[in-house]
Amino acid sequence: MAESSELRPLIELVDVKKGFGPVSVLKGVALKAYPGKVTALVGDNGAGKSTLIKGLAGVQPYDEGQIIFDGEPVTLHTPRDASALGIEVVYQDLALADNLDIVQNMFLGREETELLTFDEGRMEREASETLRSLSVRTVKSVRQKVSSLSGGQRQTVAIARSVLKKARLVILDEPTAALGVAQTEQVLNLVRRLAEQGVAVIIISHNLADVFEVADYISVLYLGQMVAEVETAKTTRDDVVGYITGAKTQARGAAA
Amino acid sequence: MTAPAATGAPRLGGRGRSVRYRLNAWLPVLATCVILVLMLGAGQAVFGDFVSPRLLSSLFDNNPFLIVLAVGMTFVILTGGIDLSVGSVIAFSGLLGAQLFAAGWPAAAVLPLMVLSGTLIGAVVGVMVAFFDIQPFIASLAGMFLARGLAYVTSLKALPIHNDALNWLLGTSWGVGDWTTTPGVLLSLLLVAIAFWVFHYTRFGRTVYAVGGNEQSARLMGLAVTRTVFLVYLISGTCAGIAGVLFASYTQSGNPLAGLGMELQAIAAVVIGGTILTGGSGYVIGSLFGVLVYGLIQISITYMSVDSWWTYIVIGVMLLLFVVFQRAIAARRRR
Repeated sequence: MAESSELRPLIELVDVKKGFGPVSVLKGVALKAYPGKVTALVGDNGAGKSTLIKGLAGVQPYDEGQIIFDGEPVTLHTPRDASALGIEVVYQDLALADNLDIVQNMFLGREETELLTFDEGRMEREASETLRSLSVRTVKSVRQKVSSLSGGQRQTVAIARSVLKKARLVILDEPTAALGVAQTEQVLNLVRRLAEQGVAVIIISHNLADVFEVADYISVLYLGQMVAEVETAKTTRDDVVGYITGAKTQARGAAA
Repeated sequence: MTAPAATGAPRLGGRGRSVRYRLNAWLPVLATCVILVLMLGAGQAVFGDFVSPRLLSSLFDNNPFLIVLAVGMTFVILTGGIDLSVGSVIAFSGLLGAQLFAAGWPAAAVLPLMVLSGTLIGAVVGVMVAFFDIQPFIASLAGMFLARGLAYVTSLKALPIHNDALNWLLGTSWGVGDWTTTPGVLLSLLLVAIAFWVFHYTRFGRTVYAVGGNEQSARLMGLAVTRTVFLVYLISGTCAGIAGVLFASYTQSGNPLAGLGMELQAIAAVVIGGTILTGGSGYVIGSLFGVLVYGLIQISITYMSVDSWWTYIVIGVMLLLFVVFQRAIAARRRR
């Protein structure tokens, strides 16, 4: 624990607020994510998880509050801003371009060029290597169209894309929601391996079994407020369920 | 960054596989090629001496402006958009040229201005689509009326053009024996080659495909979607401006009625060439073949000495067949 409290968060949200007209969705939320650690963001429907993530992705900027990335205050107004900082969001079903193949998707926007052409051979090799380094074995060919992949394979490719981009913060939005048991296991392994490579990972999930399996920290949103930020090792499922449903609140001292 | 050892992982992406996956994507273009060859064969069988260097040359010579329009249209359609303004741009650009030539301007100034007039209309449509999120159909329809209106403002009636430089473009014939070509045709083919390079070897080209595949995904992946969409209309407009120059050279005049419906011919050529109207799939080479199929139908109709409107009926049937064919391929892929 002493070690983890010394660790500097890669990204820190301070008192972020977001409202839509009269409805305030985020009422001053704080969030931290550490390099090499998996932080799970949980909360009931309508707690504000998606809104929080959209702000980090630059899709829907926050109204108020500070974003501190690697010790520096930053602004995130477009997905390109986020991308430039090394923040990658893997969305449930909008992560990839279906009509392109795996290599093209993994290198989209940052293709390797050689004189006046693309270095396709090199991209193909690097894509294969990345998939292999993540122990992905289910993909038949890296020249397959993404539209021909299964849900789990698509998540895999999307995660591999963020690895290849040398992302520093990867946010996974419900990565296992539509997957079967074996595929879920694969994706969770992948998430662990991502963290082992030093990436800060934020994972949104409704599935507490997944959360307890993969996360180092758990942050719980309840009606637009961060009600608990705990270490997975020091909490129980019942406690987390309590935080999510609002039946339980964390002692203020511990949250700070 | 220690990658776990992955012994025994399957070899990902062998050569043979990559070729097969790519071949699949080229299927619609190959189909267009096959149809072109079949049509040539049928013509040869019916008319006897149909396939000749002269015929093949005239396939290109008759339609260089359509090739250029189809190139620009391919960019737009691949992003999932449409550009209806290009036909009117031909009229506007031609008349602008006619007026400027009549006023004694040199070709070195007039020709670039003719092209730029197209770029300008393209920019207007592009701003509407990319920055104000207006439907491409509506935005380019507005562009179409704007350009046609500007053409009428420039001149109410057709104006002849007498300029050596302009005539040189399509009036000069280079060739070996019966194989002939003109500078204008070579220019249009050069544009096809450049477009091919842009599509397949630049980030911009790849982004065009990504936007056509799923605009929202592309945006979320951090790609410059707005800029790309703006640029495709700018390119299409510029191509229309170039087509305007070629058309003016072809007819040696500017005419407020020029290019009427030509945007639809260009769209037809692109679709016949295997590009899907919803975007994300297709090749600029296919569009070239699409124009050739179009040209061949025109010539065949002339050979059969029936009335020229039969061209439209045949093109209509062709379009229908191609859309059905693409549906079939899409359905097969999904399985």
